[in-house]
Amino acid sequence: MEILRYTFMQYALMNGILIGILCPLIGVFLVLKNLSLIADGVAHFSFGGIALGIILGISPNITILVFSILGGLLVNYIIRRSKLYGDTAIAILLSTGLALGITIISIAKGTNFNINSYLFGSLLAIDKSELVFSLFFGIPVIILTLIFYRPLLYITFDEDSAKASGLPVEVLDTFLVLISAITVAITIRIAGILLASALIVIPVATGMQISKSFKGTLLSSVSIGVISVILGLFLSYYMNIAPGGTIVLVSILIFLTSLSRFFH
Amino acid sequence: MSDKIIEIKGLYFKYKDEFVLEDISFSLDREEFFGIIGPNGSGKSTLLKLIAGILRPTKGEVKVYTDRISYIPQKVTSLYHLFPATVEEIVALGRLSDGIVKRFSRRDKELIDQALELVGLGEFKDRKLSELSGGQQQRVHIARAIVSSPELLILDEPTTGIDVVNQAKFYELLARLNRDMHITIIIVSHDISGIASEVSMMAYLDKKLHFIGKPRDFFRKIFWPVEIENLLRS
Repeated sequence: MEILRYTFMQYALMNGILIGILCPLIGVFLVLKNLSLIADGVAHFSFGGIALGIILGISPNITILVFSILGGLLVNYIIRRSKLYGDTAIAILLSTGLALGITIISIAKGTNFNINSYLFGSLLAIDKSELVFSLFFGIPVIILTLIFYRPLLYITFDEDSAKASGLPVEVLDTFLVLISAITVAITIRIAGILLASALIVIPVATGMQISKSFKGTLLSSVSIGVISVILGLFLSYYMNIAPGGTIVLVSILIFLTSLSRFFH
Repeated sequence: MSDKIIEIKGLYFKYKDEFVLEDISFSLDREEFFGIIGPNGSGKSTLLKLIAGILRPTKGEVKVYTDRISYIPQKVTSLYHLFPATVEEIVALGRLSDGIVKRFSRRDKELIDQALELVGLGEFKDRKLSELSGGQQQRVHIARAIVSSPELLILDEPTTGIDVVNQAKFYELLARLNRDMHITIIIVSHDISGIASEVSMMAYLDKKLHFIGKPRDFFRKIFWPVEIENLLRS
């Protein structure tokens, strides 16, 4: 295939498939815990990190990761300890990151900062070091999630029962926040801040329409994630349109199809 | 080893600024079938969560002499109408009390099948949880508890929203677990007559513990005098 002769396409495809697997895998737990928006909040929060990284001369890859983890832990803490609903906590976090980012960028007007690539992603601009970065963090997250999928399912299904049975609920909960934050950080490079949560939520919403078991939902969500990425990437190449947007639109199209009577 | 399974001394608990439990002290022997009744907001669910280790006391102590505890929260059924999991997958969660990263062996699968047979849901194991009726879902949670071979089973208003015939069957099932599998059971209920005929010990809770003892003494000392007083008043 002609498209695969280009190195940038090979990197894009490999990185895309990684997040196609990773996002729905973590997304299943977030969606079922009613925390779909946490990924969105964390992604927006890390916008502050990107801006800070740029003016301090630190690689945005690192500041995105640090801010994502910080944001995730903060939301988790607020939800557990404060008198706020989860979505209020997420809204505050989201605004904080955006406000911080916009203000910092306005201070650093002179720097050569391509804001678009962070807002909308730049899958085709992935170089080897970024691919290595994604794989280095992404593959352990996939393996750990598969190892701990049953206890994660238990705390997702019923936290109190899990706690009474002696499961380390707080540790598992923090673990889920950490792997979600890492997933968001990897995904931002590719889908952008605005669309990072799409791949975490939409394939899972589709998987829930067509499966009746948890395993089935997990497998179908991941399959849909990977198919969306591959199909979206090819379409965007041949039609010369934005890959991030195309991938998300493909996943939405699959979701709409799953709602049709054909599957029920 | 003591034959006590629970000892509670001078227990207080408050949410924010208001005490919901005050000066609770009692102990419970192993293999009792213990029913707790009381009005709404009387602290029944809180007491169960303190015993299950989900909450920590504000003051006083709760000692539970087993770590094999299974807890079935209130109204589990209505929460999961969208949850994509089969009956078998939910029951399997009970096996995690033996270790959270174990691989499931043939023995685990046998235990899951046996538990489902025991609660009469053998043929439902591949069904989606949300497709089952309220009473059947409640039995799924019992099966999840059984596979963890608990010594203490704690249930919070398990028969809410279940019709009378199925309530009676449910109490029968609990009585069997108590008698045949020697599981200590603590159950919170609104339904005085339903649990009074099954339980071996009973408590009336309204912030404080107003009564604890045999069901017949409860009726003689608390229930009938109040009922008669109400009758005379009307």
